[in-house]
This record gives sequence, C-alpha cells and structure tokens, in this order.
Amino acid sequence: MSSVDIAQLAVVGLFIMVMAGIPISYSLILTSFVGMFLIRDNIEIAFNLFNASAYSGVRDYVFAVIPLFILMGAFMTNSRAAEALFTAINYLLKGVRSGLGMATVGANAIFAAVTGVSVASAAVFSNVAHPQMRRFGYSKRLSLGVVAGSSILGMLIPPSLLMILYGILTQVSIGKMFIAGIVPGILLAIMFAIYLYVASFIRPDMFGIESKKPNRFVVRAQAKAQAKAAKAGSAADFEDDFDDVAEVDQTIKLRTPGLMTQTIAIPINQMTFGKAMLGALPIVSLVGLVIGGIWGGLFSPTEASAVGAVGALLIAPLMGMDWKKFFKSFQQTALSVGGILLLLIAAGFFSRMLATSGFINQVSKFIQGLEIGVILLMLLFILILVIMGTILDSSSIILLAIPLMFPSILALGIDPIWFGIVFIIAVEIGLLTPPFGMVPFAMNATLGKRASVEDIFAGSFPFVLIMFALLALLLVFPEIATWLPGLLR
Amino acid sequence: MFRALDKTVAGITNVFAVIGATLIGVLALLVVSDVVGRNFGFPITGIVELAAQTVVISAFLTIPFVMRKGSHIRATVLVSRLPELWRRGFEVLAFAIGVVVFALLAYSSWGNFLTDYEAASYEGEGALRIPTWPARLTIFLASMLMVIEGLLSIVKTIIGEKK
Repeated sequence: MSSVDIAQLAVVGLFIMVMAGIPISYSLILTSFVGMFLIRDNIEIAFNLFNASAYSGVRDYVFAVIPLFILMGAFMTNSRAAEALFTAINYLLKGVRSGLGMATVGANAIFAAVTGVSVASAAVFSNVAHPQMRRFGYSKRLSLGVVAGSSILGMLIPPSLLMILYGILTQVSIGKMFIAGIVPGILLAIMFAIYLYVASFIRPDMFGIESKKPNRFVVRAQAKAQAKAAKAGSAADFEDDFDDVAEVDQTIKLRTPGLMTQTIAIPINQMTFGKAMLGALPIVSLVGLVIGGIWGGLFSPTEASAVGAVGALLIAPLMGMDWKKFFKSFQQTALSVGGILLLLIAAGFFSRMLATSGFINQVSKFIQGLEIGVILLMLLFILILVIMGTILDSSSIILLAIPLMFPSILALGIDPIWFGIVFIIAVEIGLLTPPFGMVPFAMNATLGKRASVEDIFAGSFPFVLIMFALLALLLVFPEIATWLPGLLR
Repeated sequence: MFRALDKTVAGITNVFAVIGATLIGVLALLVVSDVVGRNFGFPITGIVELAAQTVVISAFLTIPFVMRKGSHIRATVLVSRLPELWRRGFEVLAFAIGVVVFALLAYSSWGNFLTDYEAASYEGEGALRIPTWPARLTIFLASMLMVIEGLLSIVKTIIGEKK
C-alpha cells in the first residue's frame, strides 16, 4: 500500500469517525497517528510527530490572539453590551420603516467587532432583539431570521476567529484578513437592511405594520397591560398604540432561558438621546481602539486582542457585569480555548501526516488538472464548503479543508486574502442551511420552545440568498475584499 | 466510592481549568504591559517567549475541563437521532478513543519532560530565559488527567449517570 493510499484511507476513516460523533480533535489525532505509523512503518516517528505537534502546535506568540479575543468576547457577551448597542441604534432609527430589524442588523455588525463567534452573537441577540421584534408585531419567522442572518456578521467583521485560524494555517497576515473583512461585512449588513426595507413594503403584515389581523403577541401584551391597568383601579382608555403597549410593557419582565438570563424592558420612550448614545459609547470606543489600532499599525493582532480583552474588562462592569458573570466569562473562555486549541494541535498533526504522505500534492495536482477555470473551481469549492457547513462547525471546516484546498489556490495564483473571505462566507452559509446548520440549533437552545429549528431555518432563508448574492458580487468584483487591505503597507 | 473518586477528579480538573483561565487573564496583562512599555520607552524583554509558553500551558490545563463538560467540538447530528442504547455505545466509543489518544500522548511526553528538565532547556535569549519544562510537564499531567476523566466518563455512560 503506497503512502498516498494510506492517507486516502485516513481521510475516509476521519470522515467516518466524525460522522459517528467522535470529537473531531480525537478523530484527527488518531487517524494521523495511525497513518503516520503505517506510512513510515515506525512507531517512534509517529510518537515524535505527535509530541512535536502537541508542544509546538500552539506555542507561538501569534496563537495568544485566540484566547485573548475569546476572553474579550466573553466579557462583552456577559455584559449588556449587545443591549446597549441595540437600544442606541434603535433610537437612531426611530420611526424608520422596519427600523427594529435594521437595528438588529446594525447592532450585530458592531457587536461582531467585539466577538469573533457567530453562534455567540446568535444566542445573545435571541435574547435581546427577538423579544422586541415580536412585541412590535414582527412575524416569528422574520424575527428569528433577522437574528440568525445578522449573527453571521460576527465572523465576517473583525476580529473573527475564522480569520485568525485562516491566517495561522495559510501564513496570510491576520491583520490584513481583518481589514479585508470590513468592506464585505458592512456591505452584507447594508444588503440585509435594504432587504428588510423592501420586504416591509411587500409584506407589511410581517413587520407589524397595517396588519389586518392583530399579532397574537401584541394582543397578549395589551391584555396584560389592560388587566394591570384595571387592577390599579385606573379606567384609562387604552389606545391601540404600540408605544403605549411598550410603555406599560416595561413592567412585564421577560425571562429568557439559556446563556443570558436578564430582564429586558423597553427604554426607548423614556430614554433621552444622550443617554442612549452614551450607553453604546464604551463599546464603540473599544471597537475603534481594536480595529483602528490594527488598521493604523499601532498594534499587531495579538496586541490588539490583549488591549481588547483588558479594555472589555474595564468597561463590562459599567454595563452590568457582576462577579458572577465575571467568573462565568472565564469559565466560558476556558471551555472554548481548550476545545479550539486542541483542535488546532490535532489539525496541525493531521496536515503534517497528509503532507508527509504526498496526498496534499496529489490533490493539488488533481485540482489543477481539472482545468475548469477559477470561477468554476471557486463554485465547486463553495459547494463543498456549504455542504460541510451544514454538518460541522466553522473552525473544524477551516482546519480540515484549508490544508487540502489552499495549495491549489496558491498554485493557480488566486489572491489568498480574497479566497479567505469567500471561504468564510461560504462556510457561514452552511451554518444557516438545513439540515444541520449550527446557528439555528444554538438559537433553539437559547429560546427553547418559543422557536423551533424549522422556523429559524425558514426565516433565515432570505438571508442565505443575500449571502449567495454577496458571494456572486465577490466573484465578479474581487476588489470588495482586496481593496482595503491593498491600501495597507 | 466511585462517587468520591469522581468528585476528587472533578476537583482536580476544576483546579487545572481555573489556573488555565487565570493564565489567559495574566497573558492579556502581560501583552498589554509589553505594548505600554514599548510605547513609553521601557520595553520588557521576553514577553513574546513567555506568551508562547503560556498559550501551550493554558491550552492543556483547560482541555480536561472541556472533556468533563462534554464540550469537545463534535458532530452529534447523526448520533443524537439514534436509539438510546446505540447512542450510549457511540458515547463510550468516543471516550475510549479519547483515552487511547491521551494515553499515547502521556506515554510519549514524559520522556520529553525529563530531557528538557535535566538539560534545563529554555527559550529566548539574554536576561529573560523561559524554561520549557513547565509546558512539557503540563502536557504530561493534562494527558494523564484526560485518561482518568475519559475512563470515568466511560463508566458513567455505562451505568447511565447524567452529567
């Protein structure tokens, strides 16, 4: 059996193990170890390579960027950062058609700049934005779809865990990847907002506008409010006015199970403009410091992540982080860091095994031998990534697919930064696509019975189409991704 | 008896995770002090090497905690649809593979630790030399703990105890 055959078997074995629910890091390590042993017919070499991967796999200053950005995200997720952003943008968009949906998109875009994980954004905004949209008469599917779709911005707007992993695996500068994500990220947010605006004219009933049949949620809120008013002895005439509903609703506590249990009241009516803006100011400053610092060459990504983590620690207590949530942030960080760094170590071992076997060369030659042109090749890759995205989480996909795909990209002279952005969007589409996209499942875990996975998938569908449109734009105009990093130097 | 053992191991795993998480906080402060130092004319040497070693140590210290919480990244989409007995079978298989993998690592990392410890290997140059044995030792200890956690999880899955 040739070493390429062994590597092929290892890839098949890996696939079977992953499907059988074996943790991906264990599967990678076991197949790499056995593969290496068979290729070299020497168990000592397998042991040595395993050890080298374990010790030096993450032993570099650059890798510090992963735990530090995760820590920063955890502090922000465990404070009321998302709520403050949502409130501020809501204030700015007051009176705008579909403003509440746009505010969700906008708040997500900024929140994305303090967290690098889509699933975290999805969980937080399920609690912060979804109940508000429902209260103002947005249909269930629309509201869920807005939250799911805009959570994707977390991975596209820097800092993004996927960009860090991509940079580490491909030697592309992480700083440049970060900068490259800004324009596509903002463009996607604008496309989402335009969609919401247009859709609010086509289906006003879904947005709680001019609906003939009153929304159940609103009716219930009104009933509660009326009951309360009656109890208080006031026979005040209750008008069919959303603002009134909202005002009375302030006293109705919404308990949301899952990641964050907090009381959300609508402060929009009473909050002054200054207060709303001031609430969001610390987060916006932190974003400016982190992104601006990388952009201006003041910080390396690692330094920016440390500054971001310490900055987040300083502002989070201002936004409702108590000791309990402080410790919870560290616990969540420990859980993500251990998992992701082990995955990185395991993937390093696996790609060394594949490289030793000559399999990567073979794949690269095969892909170049196809001679199908860049666009068709990219479409093929996108298809593979979307399919992978429906089963696996994004970091696993990047660690599995990049070693196999990237050599061909280099050989064909495709811009690695542009490919990175296309890659990330394709993976994120998979996260929203049935049967097993991860974001709807995470939201379902947060919202419980209030949102079925099917509803979330259905609601996300328009946003998936918009993401495909962005991919098409990127294929036709690569400058969307390459222009801004090209200015750096 | 088994419960007491499980509780003790849980305690050790938690201590590991707390140290690991604390180190991540320390890492943030270290790098920030490096940035501040560089900009105000008192650069601190060795932060880069120290940070690199800290990443390895905090990674391995938190891995057993990830296993105990069942948070290792995996695709459960197919397995979760199986009948109870099958699902438990696959759970046991997953833990068993974890045990094998980390037993291999524990076995082979002990030698590396001894070599580095006796030779007093270090990283970096000049004033601040960072010894490499703490990271090597952490890999060994964490792997041992993973083996124990894995074996306990197998027993717990078989007797049907919930996490």
